[in-house]
Amino acid sequence: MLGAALVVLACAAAAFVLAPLWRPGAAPAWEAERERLVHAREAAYRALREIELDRDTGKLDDDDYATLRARYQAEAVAVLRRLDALATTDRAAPAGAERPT
Amino acid sequence: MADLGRFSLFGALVLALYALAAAALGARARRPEVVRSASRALVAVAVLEGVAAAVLWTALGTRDYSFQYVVSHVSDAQPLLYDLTSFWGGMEGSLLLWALLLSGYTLLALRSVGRQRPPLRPGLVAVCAGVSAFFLFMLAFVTPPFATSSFPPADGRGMNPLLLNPWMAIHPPTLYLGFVGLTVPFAIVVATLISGPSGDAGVLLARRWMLWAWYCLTMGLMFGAKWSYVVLGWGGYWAWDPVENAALMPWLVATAFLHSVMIQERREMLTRWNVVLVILAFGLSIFGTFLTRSGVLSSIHSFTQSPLGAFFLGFLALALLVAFGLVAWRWDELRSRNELDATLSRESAFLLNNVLFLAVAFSVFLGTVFPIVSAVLTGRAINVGPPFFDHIVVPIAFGILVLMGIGPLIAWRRASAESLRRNVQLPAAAGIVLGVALLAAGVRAPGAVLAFVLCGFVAATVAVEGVRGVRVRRAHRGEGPVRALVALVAHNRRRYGGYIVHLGILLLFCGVTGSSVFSTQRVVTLGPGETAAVGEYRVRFDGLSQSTRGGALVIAASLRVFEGTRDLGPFAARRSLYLAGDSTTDVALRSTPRDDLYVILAGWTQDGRATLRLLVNPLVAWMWAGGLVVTLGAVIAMIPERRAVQEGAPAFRGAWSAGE
Repeated sequence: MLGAALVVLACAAAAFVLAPLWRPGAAPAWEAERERLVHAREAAYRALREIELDRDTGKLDDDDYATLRARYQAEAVAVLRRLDALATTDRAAPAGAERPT
Repeated sequence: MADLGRFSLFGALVLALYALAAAALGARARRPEVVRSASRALVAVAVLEGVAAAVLWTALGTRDYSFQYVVSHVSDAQPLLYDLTSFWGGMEGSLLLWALLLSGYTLLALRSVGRQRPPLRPGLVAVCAGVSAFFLFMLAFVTPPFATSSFPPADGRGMNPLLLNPWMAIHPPTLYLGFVGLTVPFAIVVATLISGPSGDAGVLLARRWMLWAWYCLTMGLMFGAKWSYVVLGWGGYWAWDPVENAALMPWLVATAFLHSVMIQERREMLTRWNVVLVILAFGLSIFGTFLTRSGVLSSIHSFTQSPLGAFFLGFLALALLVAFGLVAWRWDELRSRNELDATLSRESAFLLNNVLFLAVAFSVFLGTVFPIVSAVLTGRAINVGPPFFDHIVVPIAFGILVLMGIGPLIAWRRASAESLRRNVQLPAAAGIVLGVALLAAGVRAPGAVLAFVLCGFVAATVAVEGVRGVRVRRAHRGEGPVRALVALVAHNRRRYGGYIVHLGILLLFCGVTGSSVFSTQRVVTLGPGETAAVGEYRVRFDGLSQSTRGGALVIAASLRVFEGTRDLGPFAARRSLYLAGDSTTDVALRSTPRDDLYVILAGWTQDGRATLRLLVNPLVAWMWAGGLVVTLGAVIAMIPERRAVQEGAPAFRGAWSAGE
């Protein structure tokens, strides 16, 4: 009885594990460049928020704030431009074309 | 039933090995269906481990003495709760718990990380399968939990009576949640190193998993300290025991990581350092399990002497070799993209903080393994003892406290000496006022005064940060103070969750300082009706009684406590004597925020006199309160913050608009 149950359990496990092999499919799309840019954009936004908070709470001098704000705004703009360019490329790509992964 | 358990473990081992091979081959041949099959194999592993766990729990719950594990850990006189928790009371069961928790974590990680970053899936499957396969191999061949005997005894031996305590019922699984939880960050980082450069090396994905593991380790350490305090009856909660140290070391490395990962997140710096910390934390978790389970060091926790040591060390060496080999391979790709803007910045404070945490971790490691090293080199195991740890760790802990206070006052990226001087004035004044007040109150221990001054400084820093944040928010939004405070924390969960964790650590620090510096004790032998004074208390001994409970003879000393003229009521100190020769202590404990009155029944005489050890441990309750505060802070910090700016939103709208 127990032997039969174990055989059933083994067969069920094997069927469950091996089933995907009969259904080949494409790898899920993942846009490394987009993720990197989104992360860079959020890092720039976070930096801008933090330097403003640090200035308002008296940790950052006005001069340093102005310098850092200019730098992170420039970084944010550059990242946004690259994200826009990526979106334009996506729209221009023919339907069904594989995205860079 | 034992056959079902054995079959499940063996089947799980085969499937874990299949998952390892299929993930590697699928990734190499770019066959996603093979990787999916490998992922499914890990689901099946989890199910089979669940079956094995159910078999063991059923055997424990039904007291099936045909299982050798049940004989060793269960007895008819033992309460059912402890029959069930003896699952992790022994080596075989605790390794099964390790494997089971790892499978749970693996499925969660595959679900979240695998979806967030699909290229990591093969590596994640391979690493988790590899670690699972090791533990399943141990369970199947080295320490099988389903060994049976043909002639089962009528009763079992039961667990070590010291383990029959609610704190011990939850301490090991909580600690294991932390230990095993460190596998996921390790798997994410190794998977990223295998799959190729991704900018962050998977470190940022690993952060939340590390935070969870850190929290579990924190609570596991706290539960263990509580158990030691109320059960072992020596008056303390931490003894620098090798196994305590084993859990502390990964906690220290994880703490360092949780600080340095913030630099990587903001500045794309320290990627290599963070990767190394993740690997070290995992390595120390395996090392900790090795220390706990091998019995290589004498410890209150080493209930076993076993052949596991060589296997664990071999596995640890292999894991570190592979991981550091991958780091070396990807070394150039892991370089920082930025450099420090200024020497005086939050980043620099965090770097120094990392150095101090690692210095403590290294010192604890050195002190812990010294008996092993000295035994190998000289043939004689030399224990370094608590003074070694105290002399090294206490000064570094003061340095960490200073950084806890100064760090939040320094701006990210760049700060000026003038702004730091301006910001530090108020918290420093608060610390100094506290110090003067303590001196005026007659506190003369310099170390304790310094510790409380620093705690006051750090607490004032957190308060000042909160007040300034509320003030800025009110100025920008016109909110009421309470609403502004709630919104401030809710919209900056990680920052203020972290500050709340700092407050919890401060309470812990105050508790440790108070109880270790100002503890008073005396040993007295009293006859019925006689009284002894300790601290502010007087304890009257009213007589001895005896009874039986759970197969033990219980001797109880009835006591009554007075503070001045006030009668604080009765309480009792007990000693339980077991037939096997073991004995346990039920401490008489009266706990208040000011101090704990802690009474141990040390002995008794035929004529009814009792020898009592009376202790007054100040501020111990602050430690346990610190654990609750850490929980609150960690929960707040773990709740995900919404994305700073949603797609399509204006790029930047000011500090108090984004993030809401």
